[in-house]
Amino acid sequence: MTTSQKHRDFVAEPMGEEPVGILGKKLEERGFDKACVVLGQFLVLKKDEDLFQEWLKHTCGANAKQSQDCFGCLREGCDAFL
Amino acid sequence: MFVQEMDHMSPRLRAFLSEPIGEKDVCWVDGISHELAINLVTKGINKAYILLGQFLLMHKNEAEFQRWLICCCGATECEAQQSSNCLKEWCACFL
Repeated sequence: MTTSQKHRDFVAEPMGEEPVGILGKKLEERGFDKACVVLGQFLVLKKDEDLFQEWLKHTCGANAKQSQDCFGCLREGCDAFL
Repeated sequence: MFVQEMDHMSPRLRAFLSEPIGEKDVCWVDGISHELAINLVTKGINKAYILLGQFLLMHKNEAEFQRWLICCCGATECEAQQSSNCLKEWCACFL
């Protein structure tokens, strides 16, 4: 499966305080202004794919592809650094 | 992290910071007593990474995290302070 450059960049190093450029302004408006806060949500949902994607769609209107990509990114990041 | 800094840490904190969080049970987090771990597991917080997630959701605000741990999970002040410090240190090392 090919991944985007953005995906590879995201997974290549620990996430920290970088802005949530991928998920956009709606997440920021709801207080999810940093990647690590979205990571927090991912972890609290016990890394469950369905729950996380449902949350993302509900919170910022992400479509199926966006929520799948985001989940995949976080899961790989966790596998690498957590 | 410098060796001198780790010398001042409890063995439990040092152990927790020495490697990634992985799938460690919540009782591995420094400050989480056996009784508090039972309370947390009852609430579905059985893994250390879930507690970390809660800490991150609170924007790593230690005071807010401690308040939540005390009010919602029955932690003592000491347990809340130790565990928030543990998670803060872990984030500094790994995030």
